[in-house]
Amino acid sequence: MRNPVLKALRVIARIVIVLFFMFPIFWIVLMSFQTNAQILTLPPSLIFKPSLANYVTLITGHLQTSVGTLDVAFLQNLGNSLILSVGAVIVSLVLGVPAAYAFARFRFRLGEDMAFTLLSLKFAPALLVLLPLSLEFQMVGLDNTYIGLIWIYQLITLPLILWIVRGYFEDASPDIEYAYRVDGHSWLKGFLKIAIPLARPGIAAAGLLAFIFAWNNFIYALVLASGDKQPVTVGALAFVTASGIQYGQIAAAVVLSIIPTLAIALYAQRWLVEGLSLGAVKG
Amino acid sequence: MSLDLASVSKVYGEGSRHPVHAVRTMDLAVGDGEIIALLGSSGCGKTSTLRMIAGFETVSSGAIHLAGRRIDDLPPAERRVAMAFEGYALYPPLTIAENIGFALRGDRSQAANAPAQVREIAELLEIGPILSRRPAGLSGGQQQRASLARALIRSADLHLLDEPMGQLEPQLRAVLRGRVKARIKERGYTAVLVTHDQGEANAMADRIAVMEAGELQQYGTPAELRDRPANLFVATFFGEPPMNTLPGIVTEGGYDALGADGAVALEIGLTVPHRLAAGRRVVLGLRPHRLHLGRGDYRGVIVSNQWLGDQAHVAIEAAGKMLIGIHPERLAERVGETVGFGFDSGDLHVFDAENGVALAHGGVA
Amino acid sequence: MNALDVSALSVSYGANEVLRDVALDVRPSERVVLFGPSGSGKTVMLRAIAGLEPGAIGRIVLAGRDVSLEPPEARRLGMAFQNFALYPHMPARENIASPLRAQKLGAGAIEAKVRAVAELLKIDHVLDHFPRQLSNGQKQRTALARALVGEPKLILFDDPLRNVDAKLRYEMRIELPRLLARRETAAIYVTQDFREAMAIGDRVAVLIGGAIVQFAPADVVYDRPATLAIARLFGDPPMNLIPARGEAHGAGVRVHAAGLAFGFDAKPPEEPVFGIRPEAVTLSAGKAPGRVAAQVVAVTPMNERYLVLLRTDDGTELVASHDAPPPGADLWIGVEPGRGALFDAATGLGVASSSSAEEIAA
Repeated sequence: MRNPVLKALRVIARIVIVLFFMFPIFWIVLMSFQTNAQILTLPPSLIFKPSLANYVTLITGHLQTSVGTLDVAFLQNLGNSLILSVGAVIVSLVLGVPAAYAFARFRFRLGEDMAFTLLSLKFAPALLVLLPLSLEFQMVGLDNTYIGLIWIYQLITLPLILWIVRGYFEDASPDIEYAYRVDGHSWLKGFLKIAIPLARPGIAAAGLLAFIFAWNNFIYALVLASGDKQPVTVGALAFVTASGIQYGQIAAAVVLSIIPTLAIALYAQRWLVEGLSLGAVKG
Repeated sequence: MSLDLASVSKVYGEGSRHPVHAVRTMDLAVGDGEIIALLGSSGCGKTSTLRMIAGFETVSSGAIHLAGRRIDDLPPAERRVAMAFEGYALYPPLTIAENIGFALRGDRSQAANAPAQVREIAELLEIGPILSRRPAGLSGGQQQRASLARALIRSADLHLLDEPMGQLEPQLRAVLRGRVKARIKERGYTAVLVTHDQGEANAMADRIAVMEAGELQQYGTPAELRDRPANLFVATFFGEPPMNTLPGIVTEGGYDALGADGAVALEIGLTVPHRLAAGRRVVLGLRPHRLHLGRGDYRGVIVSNQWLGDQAHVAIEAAGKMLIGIHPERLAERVGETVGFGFDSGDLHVFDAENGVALAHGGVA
Repeated sequence: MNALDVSALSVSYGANEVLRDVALDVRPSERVVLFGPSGSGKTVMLRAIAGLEPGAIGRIVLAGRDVSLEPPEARRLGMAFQNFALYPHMPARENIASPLRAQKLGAGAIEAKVRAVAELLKIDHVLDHFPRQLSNGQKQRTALARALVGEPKLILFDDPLRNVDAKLRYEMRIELPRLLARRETAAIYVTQDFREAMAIGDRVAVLIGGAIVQFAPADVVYDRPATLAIARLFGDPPMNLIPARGEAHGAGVRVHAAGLAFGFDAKPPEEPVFGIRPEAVTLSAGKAPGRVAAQVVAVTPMNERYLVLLRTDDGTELVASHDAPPPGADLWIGVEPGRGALFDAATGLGVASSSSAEEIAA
């Protein structure tokens, strides 16, 4: 770019865009250090005395309101979210990665239909599934159990993993697996030692995305989990109290619940960018 | 029309931490009616050069003139350049005939008898039978010929052809190269061909610009590249099979080629240009086509003798080094037998061992 | 005992028959080239032999052992792929060791064998490098080492020199046959390049449309192509093929093409086509018996040869290939005696070849 004015405009445009997208997060972080009264001041002010009260409330589990002390189970909710999301992702990976490999490598009758049906579950409105499901769960005793919830979370995570990982398997040249088999290794060894390591960036990306989707899920957990099995998304409802909405605590809860996803994303980044397939075949 | 590139450079990511110099201060003059080829492996800068001429890429510094007009700040449509794209770039909803005829739409003088012209160029490129079909479903070779037809039907100040014949069916290649070359010459078009295939460059171009790492290595006729390569890169890149090379040393009466163990393998008596001091390390080069088998002052053991229909490719080992020679007839000697070989002293190339620059061709500096 | 006997091999993808009742034999230490245009089924055939085509029907006998029903890992052969197919997450050493690991050899034996084959291929200094750190040539050699290290009786090569530069290609063309001969390994080698086929193959099997149409020593395929299709494919530039007229003449046939006449010992074909290799088309500046006038359309040099596109007065186009540039723009052309071939376009088959041809002046 030879024109300095154009260059400056471009920089400004970039800043505006970043501000626009980052503003909600920035504001939530600010809110989490304010009292409800400060938050509700009009016009809002950037100058305030920060307080850790909201975080203390979440961690001790005692919410002081005008009508008395309420117990909140935020930390337990956080733990539930972790158990449910991690469980769902692990089960989906164990089931989804071999399935993705099968869909990518083998042509079989109704293969495409099956793959699509799994995906189409994501298109169905959750509420449509939920009513019969909650009745059934009550009948078989799966309602309000981790196993039942993890099972249901598969509706979200499995199709995601299946379709993303399938793409990675399809992109890898089957010649590399063929070579390994001709060397004298069994099909299973080829899958474990060649196919999976080569698809690792894809598996990491899919796992991360599945985790975030599971973590952010609200509606399944709202209907099927009660009390001690609730994840943070549902647990945040506790701050809508009889004496008003506790914006400060909600903001602090949001900040705390973002941390695990953020940590995992940062950790997984190196897997995501590591282009393992580079140099495998003639490029 | 004549094309002139003066000190043209292309830098990607200028001002960033890792700017990429795709093309470095390139000077290139193409005469009116000349066909030239930009030849090099991928990443050598030939495509960036082509895109700057076409106007798809800005020039970082330098100037491009076409027919006396400065064109590097004009939009592509105003440069009066016709182009055949490597990826064919045919319009999918149009038939092949419409695709080819499309190029004539903007030109009233040519549009009048467009159908006749389309038919003529289609016949030239053997795509007459598929004129009414659409690009989808045609083979790569057919699409490439259609793309080439669309570029060649238009009269323009300059024709840019990006890898125009790489996908051509091998059985058509020799005939179509000849026809396309004849057509360009007959119309007096000026053409710049970009290719990684030296066979294509050699067949089509009057002059070839060999590029590597963004720099023009040599610009000359195929005969000049063959007989007077400017450096070791051009010498071993241009020509098939590649030039034989041997480490060597300048002596009082010529050159010594060194074998695998560093001992003298061949003593070559030859007048040495006086500025080359005895003892200087050099690389000696000899083209396989210029190595005579069955006669000559040297002896080697045949390690491979392959008859390829119209020529024999023979590998001989002398002092632990392998040399390849081309023989026009079958060579009776078998693998393991000793054979005499030699060469005309004028066919020996001498390069600097350090930087690869050519020092002498034959006895001439 | 042959290294390989393939009989009645067929492969179909749905209704599409890719290979049709193919037979092929490879003698011990023999190099057989599988030559054919893209899509002719060469790679499919190689994969079927390796056991990588689950739908293959037919009998495959490797060194006397019927492996038709064996999975690929039990067939004990080597394979080299066009894209090298190295394992990107393993260093060169482990890539090469892979067949030995499958044989469950001890660590010492593996290291010794890997080292030996790496030294042979001059890659012993890069054994610890990962594929992405290797040059194209080193990748090629690593893939080759992997195919060789288990000392299989047969190695399958799927166009391994297609993607490499000219220098390496010529190097390998010479080195590969020597290497295979030294280790007494038979090979099937797939290529689309007729010169590579001639350089590497003891015999050439021409595969067109899923069937082997000629299986003969390389120079026989070059000099006497069995069909028109082979004549079009085997050669660069390919044989000139000129539609001709033919009439019975004595016991044979007299064929008129491009203004010249030729005699062959054969019955008159239904639709005669006269074939002549570009290097057998002679050019001269002066008129002489047995020659016809032609104009030079274009000269397109190829390596150190000159390809001349010519047009005779009757509009016939043909290509001549010579060491020297043509002696002018208006020439007289003829053909070298004994080099013509006669085909029948109605059947696509060769009718008579050079050995029986007897040229007659027009």
